[in-house]
Formats: sequence, structure tokens, C-alpha cells
Amino acid sequence: MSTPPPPMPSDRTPNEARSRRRRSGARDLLLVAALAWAAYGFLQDVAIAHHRARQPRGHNIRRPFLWRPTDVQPRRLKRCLRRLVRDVPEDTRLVLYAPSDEDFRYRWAAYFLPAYDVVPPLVPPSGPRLAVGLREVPPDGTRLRGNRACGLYRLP
Amino acid sequence: MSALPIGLLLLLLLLVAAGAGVAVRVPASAPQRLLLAVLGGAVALHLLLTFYDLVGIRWSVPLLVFGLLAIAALGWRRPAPAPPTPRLGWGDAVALAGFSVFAWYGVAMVSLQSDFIWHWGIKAQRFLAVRHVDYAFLARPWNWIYVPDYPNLYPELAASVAMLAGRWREVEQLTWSPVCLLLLFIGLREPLAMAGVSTQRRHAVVATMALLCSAAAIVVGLAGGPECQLGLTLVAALPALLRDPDPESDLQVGVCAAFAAASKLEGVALGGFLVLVQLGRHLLRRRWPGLPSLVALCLLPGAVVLHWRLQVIRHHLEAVFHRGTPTWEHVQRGLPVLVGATSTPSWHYAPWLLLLVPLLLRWRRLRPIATVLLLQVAMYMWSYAAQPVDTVVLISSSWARLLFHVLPAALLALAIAALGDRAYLGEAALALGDGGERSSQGLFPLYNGRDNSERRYPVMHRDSFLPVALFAGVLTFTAAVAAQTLGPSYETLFVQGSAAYGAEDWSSCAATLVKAAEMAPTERQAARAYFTAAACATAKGEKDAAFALLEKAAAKWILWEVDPSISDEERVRWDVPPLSVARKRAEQLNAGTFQPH
Repeated sequence: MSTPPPPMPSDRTPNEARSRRRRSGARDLLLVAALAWAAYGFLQDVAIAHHRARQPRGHNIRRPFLWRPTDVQPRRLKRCLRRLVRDVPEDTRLVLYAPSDEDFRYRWAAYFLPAYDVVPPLVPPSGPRLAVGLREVPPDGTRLRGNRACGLYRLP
Repeated sequence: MSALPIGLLLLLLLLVAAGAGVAVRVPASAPQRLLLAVLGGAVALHLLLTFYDLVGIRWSVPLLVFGLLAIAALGWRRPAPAPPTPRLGWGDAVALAGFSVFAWYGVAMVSLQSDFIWHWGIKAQRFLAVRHVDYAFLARPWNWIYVPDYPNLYPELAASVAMLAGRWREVEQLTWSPVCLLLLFIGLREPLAMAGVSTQRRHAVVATMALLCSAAAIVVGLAGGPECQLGLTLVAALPALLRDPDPESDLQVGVCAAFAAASKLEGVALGGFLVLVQLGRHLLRRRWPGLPSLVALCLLPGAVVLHWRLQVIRHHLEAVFHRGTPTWEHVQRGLPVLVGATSTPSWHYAPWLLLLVPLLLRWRRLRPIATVLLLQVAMYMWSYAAQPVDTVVLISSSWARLLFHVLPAALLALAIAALGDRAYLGEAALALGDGGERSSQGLFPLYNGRDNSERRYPVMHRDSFLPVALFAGVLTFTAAVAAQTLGPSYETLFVQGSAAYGAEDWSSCAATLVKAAEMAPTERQAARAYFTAAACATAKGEKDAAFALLEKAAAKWILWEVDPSISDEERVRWDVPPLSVARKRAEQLNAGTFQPH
């Protein structure tokens, strides 16, 4: 009967091996905790996004800063601007007049009229002769198209 | 209306084809190669459109498709041997779910980044309308709000998607950022596998990071901007930074650096840090990289940055709020806000883990990524302390977004440090005072490119990167302060005037800007300064002064740009004076003899 082989010499003492296992276990525990925390945060954030998505966005969003492209107001603005610039040559400079507390409306207009040079009223006076008035009438402007809420004007 | 993003899918296919030539050269698994192919393809697209602009060819679908396919054909070669692809598992399923939820809310415009409307979308549609990057449009003084000095890869991608789709659709445009996030998740797997992280732990890390990043992307609102591109860059570069530097890893870093530099202003710095660190890795081994390495590392980012910088200089696009010297006042004001913004609920306190990044310098393999991360974060801090705008608004409106650039790679590196194979990471080798190259070769020879098990590199001090980074920081700071004290230049005065505008100090604002206009080396810059000075005078209530300044601006500005395609008949029809009349008026204005009617 052969004798069993002697145990292989190990480079670690039992204490070291135990400590290593403990550290590894602690790491796993930390990882699980991080995963649980991330999952909790994710669900919380999805709930916020879901709430935002379901929130009725009727006609009460006054500030253009808060508009989304799918809202009623920007879609209305887009329709009106496209109608105004029908047959106006591309790259024409259009001075945009809008109530002063709504300067983000200017960016919306530029977003909807990318082929035109939409500029604020403070431009060198020799350049532009056409203006778009959004709820604001340009001083001494003669309306060519549209209405007070959204009109194309000729400037003196 | 088709809900399928046809344009985006077509563009992705073309990008993968164009970037495949780069991807197959790198010894990486198939998913990592896919990721690199998209990045390489995007850089190829940027350079292709830049080439068309330089030779005066307008963009079109046939040219776009033909150009990218030609690049694909020219760049193709036999794939290098690839390591096995890490198997898919539950972590990847969670990542896919995170991507899907972000894509859903992105397309629904709940997670829309407002900058998509405020400038990215405007620029993209403008480029689409005129079929080239319209620098004349960007240079107009009132268009400074569109941040004209940003690199243009994002608008170019958006315009290309619209060209391929045949029209501009927000739904399609907003899918690009989720795609970048998905690529980022794909990129998480490779470094973890390289570092020998066990399968289950790898899935747990991927799932945790996917949940964190998706949640932040949803709540912060990252659909419709290039933030995901920059986060993706660092994750994609990590495998190359973990490997020993060789021509393949140089190529990988070069592609990532070029992609970052073309994406956003912050990406220019990020790309620079990536290239410098990779070069530093060569030099710290006391060997100068060979020509193939230098070309692979520097050619693409160099081309991207050089063209971008030349255009910024040529068209005077630099936004004044992107310059400045750090001030103690900004630091004092910004610090509490920064602490608050770091605890943002959007990230669930994860940004505080950035404080652990310096600890990564302990592991030899992680030192390069730690250095890049530290330099990038230091650059953000510098920028917050220096920008001549309201620091509180600046930090609170940007920090949660900027975190997306660095946090995914930082968390990944921390996970590797905590869970990776010690021998691979190189901690033990440091204790021996050896470069430690040998310790890892037996474990992952394929990832290290070549068998260099017998090669011994000179000792690299464990903190080598930190002093270099600190020295570079101090040098830059000193140079900036010296530049400020040499005497007020046009730029300095313009920045000061703009800062006074921000602080609503109208008297000082107008006076400083008039001085800036007088110092301006070009007429365009003078016009810009007069124009802004007029805004100050208007705000102060001095109408006459404002009109006088506007007239001066007009004198410098008038007929700066003329579209010759518009005939005099069309001008008369819209009550615009004919070109000859306008020119005469400009001459009178410049001569000071103009009499308004």
C-alpha cells in the first residue's frame, strides 16, 4: 500500500490565506452594495423622468428657456416663421424683435431658420432692412406679412 | 413617418467601414474593435468633410458615401490576432437596459440637452443648409452665443445623419448620444478582462456603471450633446493605456485623442493629455518612439487640432469667456458651489470617488489613466477659476455634465484597482524596484502586443507622473500670469470689458471695450469690441453714445460679408440698397463723411 504524497509546500501561511479570503469577501460585499446603490439611484431617476414625461405640458409654459421641441409653443413658432420667410432669399438678415425677457425665443427662431441670418436688434444700423416681430412691433416698421404675434416687417 | 433612424444607422455602418482599417490593426477583442471602428470612422468623417471644405466642394450624399467607402478600401488590411471576446452575461443585459431607457427618454426629449437647441442644432442645420462648415456665419459678432470656437464634429455628424436620412429629424439626432453611451458600456468590458477581473465581478462592475451612467444621462439630460463622446473617449483609450506602449497602442490613443479633440473644447485638452501621457510613457522608458509610433500617435489629433486652431485664429472665433487667469475671488466663490454640485443627486454621490483617483498612481498600469484624469480635472478647476463669467452659474450649470467626461473612466480604473490581478497591475514589481514588465507578460501576453518577457526596462519611479504633471501645471500658470502682466492687449481688454459686462459695471465696460477696439489688430475685432461697447452703453441708458458706437462698429463691419449670389433686383425687391450703394455708404462711413438721412 503506497503512502499518500506529502502535502505541497505552500507559499502562504493559513493566516495569510484567511486574510486574503476575508479581503476578497469584503470587496465582493462592497461591490454588491455599490450595485444596489446604483440600481436604487437608477430606479429613482427613471421615476423622475417618467414623471417629467407624463406631466401635462399644455399652453402654460411661458418661458422659451423651458420649451421642448415637441411643445405647442415652439411648433407654433416654427409654423409661423416658416410662413413668414416663404420666398425670402436664404441668408437674408432678419432682425428679431421679441419681448426683452424672452431672449431664448431668439435662439428658437435661429434654430427654426438656420438658412437665414437671424440677428438681435442691436446690430449695425446699415445692414438689415427686414425684421421679424414676435409679440413686439419693430420701431417704425411696416408690416409686410403676418400679425402682431408673428409678423414680417420692413424697417426704414 | 418612419420611426427607424435610417440616417443614423446608415452613418454608423459607414463609420464602422471607414474606421475598420484602424480597428483591425489593434490587438483587441471584436466588441472593442467595433468601438474603435466607430471612433476612427468619426475622425475620418471629420477629416473628409474638412478636406471637402478646404477644396471648396459642397457636401452631398454621394460624396459622403464615396469618401468614407474610399477611406475604408484604402485603410483595410488583414486583422491582427485578437484575444477572445469576453462572454456576454447579466451585466451586459443590465447595460443594454440602461441604454434603452436613456434612448427612450432621449428620443422623447425628456433627457434633451438644452444646448442642442441653443447652439449644436443651430450649427448643424446651418452647415446642412449651406453644405459646409460656415465659418463666416460663426464669425458674425452676434453669433458668439453659439460658441463658435467649439470644434465641429458633433454638428458634422448631425448634418451627415440628416443628409443620409434626407431631412432633419430631432428623433434621429437625439439617438446619437445613447449610441455613444452604448459604445461606452461595450468599452467597459475589455479593460476589466485585461486586468483579470473574474467574470461575475466584471458583470457586477459593468452593471453598476451602466446604471450610474444611464441614470445621470437621463436626469442631467445628455441627449443631443457631445458629452457622451468625451466619456466614451477615455474608456476607449483605457486598454491602450493599460498595455505597454507600442505602435498599436499609440494608434489607439491617437484615434481616441483625435475623436476627443474634434468633439468639444474640453476634448482638445483631453486629447492633448492623452498624447502627452502616451509620449511620456515612451520617454520614461528611456526610448524615443519610432516614426511609426509618432505618426500613429500624433498625426490624427495633430491634423484635427491644427485645422481647428487655424480656423479659430483666421475667423477670430475665440469666445472671450473661454479665456482668463485664475483669480482668488473665483476660487472663493466657486468652492462651495463645487462641493454642492459634486453631491448632485444626478450622480448619487459617485463624483466624490474622484478624490480616490490619486491613489491609482500606486499601480504602475493605472498611472497613465490616473495622470490623464488628474490633468483633465485640474483643467476644469483652472477653467472655473479663470473664466470671466459668474462662477456660481458656470459651475452649477456645467459640473454635472463635465463629470460625464471623466467619471466613467475614473470609476472603471478604481474598479480595476480594487478587483484586478495584483501582479498585472504592477504593485509588487514596484517593491522590487523593477519596471515590472515581466510580471504581467505570462498572464496576458496577447494584450501586451508582443512577447517582451526578456526585456527589462529601467526603473520608473512610482510618482514620476505626478511631479511632471505638477511641473506642467505650475509652468502654465506662471506663463499665463506673465502674459497678463506684460501689458493689456486687445484680448485682455476685451476679457476685462466682458467681465465688467457680466458684473453690470456699465461705465467701466464701455470704456474698456472702446480701449480694446482701439488696440484691435484687425477691423473685425475692432467692430466686435465697438459692438459690445454699444451694448454696455445701451444698458447704461446712454442712447446717443450707443448709436455713436454702433456707427463706429458699422464703419468697421459694413460689407464685411456680402453674398454675391443675391442680385440687385432681389435686394430692391426687399428694400435693401443695391450693392454699389452699400459699398459707397461704407466708404463714406469709413471716411467719416456719411450723413444719415
